[in-house]
Amino acid sequence: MINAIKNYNKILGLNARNLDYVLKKDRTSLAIADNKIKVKRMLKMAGLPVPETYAVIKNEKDFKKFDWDLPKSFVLKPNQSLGGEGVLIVYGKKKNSPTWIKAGQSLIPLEDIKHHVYNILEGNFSPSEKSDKAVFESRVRLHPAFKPYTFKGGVPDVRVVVYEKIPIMAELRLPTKASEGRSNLHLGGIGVGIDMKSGITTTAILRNRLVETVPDTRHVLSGIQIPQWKDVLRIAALAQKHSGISLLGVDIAIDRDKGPMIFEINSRPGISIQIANQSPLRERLKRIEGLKIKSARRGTKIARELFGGEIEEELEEISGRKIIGIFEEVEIIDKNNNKIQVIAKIDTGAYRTSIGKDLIEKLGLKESKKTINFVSSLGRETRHVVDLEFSIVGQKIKTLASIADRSGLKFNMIIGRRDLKYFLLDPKRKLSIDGLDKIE
Amino acid sequence: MTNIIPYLLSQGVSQEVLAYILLTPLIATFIAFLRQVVGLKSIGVYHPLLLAFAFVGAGLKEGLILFLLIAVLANAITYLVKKFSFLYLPRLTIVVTVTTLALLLTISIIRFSDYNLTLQSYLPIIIILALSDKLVTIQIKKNVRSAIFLISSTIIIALLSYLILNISWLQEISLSYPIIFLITLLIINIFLGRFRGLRINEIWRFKDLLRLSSKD
Repeated sequence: MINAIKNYNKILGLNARNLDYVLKKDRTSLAIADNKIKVKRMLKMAGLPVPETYAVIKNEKDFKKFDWDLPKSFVLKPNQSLGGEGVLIVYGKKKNSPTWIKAGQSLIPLEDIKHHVYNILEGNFSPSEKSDKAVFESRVRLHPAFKPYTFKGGVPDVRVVVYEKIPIMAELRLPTKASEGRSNLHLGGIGVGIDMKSGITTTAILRNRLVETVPDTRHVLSGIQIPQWKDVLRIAALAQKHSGISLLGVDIAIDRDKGPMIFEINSRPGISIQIANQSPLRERLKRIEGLKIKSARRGTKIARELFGGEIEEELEEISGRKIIGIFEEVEIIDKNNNKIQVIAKIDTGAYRTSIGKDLIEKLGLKESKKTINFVSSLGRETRHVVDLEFSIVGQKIKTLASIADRSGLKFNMIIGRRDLKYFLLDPKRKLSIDGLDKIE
Repeated sequence: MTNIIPYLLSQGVSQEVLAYILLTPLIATFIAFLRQVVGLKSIGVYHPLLLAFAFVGAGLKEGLILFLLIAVLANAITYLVKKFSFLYLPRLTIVVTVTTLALLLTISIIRFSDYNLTLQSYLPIIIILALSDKLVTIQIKKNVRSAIFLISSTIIIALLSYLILNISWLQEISLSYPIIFLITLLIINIFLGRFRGLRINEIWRFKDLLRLSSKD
């Protein structure tokens, strides 16, 4: 119960979303965001990837003149519609018959496609109910990474919620038979939470309930690696930057050959992404309040640092060890018991931790009276040692480190395997941003 | 200001009319509350409001029967008319005209004679006819599941509003203290307009997240 009260303010509900984010947008940006043709033009100008447009039917005159020689697979969209309403996804055509196959596998004859276009033109899907335009565009080809999880013909996408160039939360949206190829959750799509750091999926929901597998095929939904994860985040952050809308949902589909493409942007991103990620949005938004981020690249970096790491946490929990990278920030206790920060290199080839002479002097530590015999590729040598107390990622270590002349070397300290028993080494792990600034 | 009501009454405006005028913002507030705080959905704000008044005008049972009749007829006729392509507005008018015709026929067939469908209650029929257009488009736009959900929750909100309209002490209060009554509504709405909390249906939706223990 106490948890519930604590968590109440961390979750973003529709009221808070509308008051704090949707209503504060300026009208011109909003008018563009709700118009798919204008959005596409804007994104293209910014050099961002979007699916190719085959044709636009603007009015009844266009409708009458249109030659209905449609490709085998395409997506038909109303120019102005919300939440996937009126979006038709077609992925095949019957031989010798003007009949197409919808994602979700039902058939749709040309007459019905025409009827659908007619409904779009009339504005039946547009929120303002004014007449609308129909857009035909190419269907993004399914990436093999998503193939086992996607219902035939569907287009899965990654929804990234971005606030002021910082991706806040992401979700893989998988179409099902019920959603007819569309990835929208309220139409029956599966939402899968994503660890912001690694781009690996975590927990999943179907119709607001947690699920572990795809209902029909029983494929496990956690542990899916999103291809080109960093690009996905960066493209999402760039799309937000160019849209001028502070809180934006960016839907990115990943094409088999062409890579990430912006499928749609949404000025009123849905809130169920919080259930898929089992993590509240408002809390994350509060954590970055007031941050001024210059570039999308920087925003992406911060996002991965700040909101990622669920997968790592899980690993750490199971193994009882902490994950570190090749370079880590180390805090050494000097003679006055102050903590001094140093960047150290992790070296599993060395047995003993080794520290530079200069650094020892700077720290004011005294050499131990003992010496240690070393056998290395250079032969046998005797080195002085020092009693050292330091901590990496919060783990305290007491050791006997050898003293070496490390002047001219990039790192003043290397940590050997003797002191690594509490850690798992991930060579791909990057130093935190604070640490990077120190090296630079 | 406080003398407005007695003055209007003395000028021959009926007490009932005045009470309903004053209760209209109350119903609107009630609907806003159900949507912002409880999280119920409805087709617009005016739809349940107008429907509630249609129920008041026609009587609850008659109103519901009329609503269902017109909803079914309008849908069937729209479906038929769709086969020919007409421009939007004339087509709408065609639907309304044919629905009216079908409605008259149906009423006489099921012998509505014991219902009070005299000239006094022509307004409910017109209100429902005007609303029927939206009932048709909502089904094209949404899938069947959400269309049924939206229409039934609109009816439920209208029914609740109808019940409120019939509370006699509310009518009396609004007539006795019209200014205080309206200002109270205004204050309630100012609070509703700034309400950032989770809606009751969202608390239900996020119940697992709410239970989650935070790590830090």
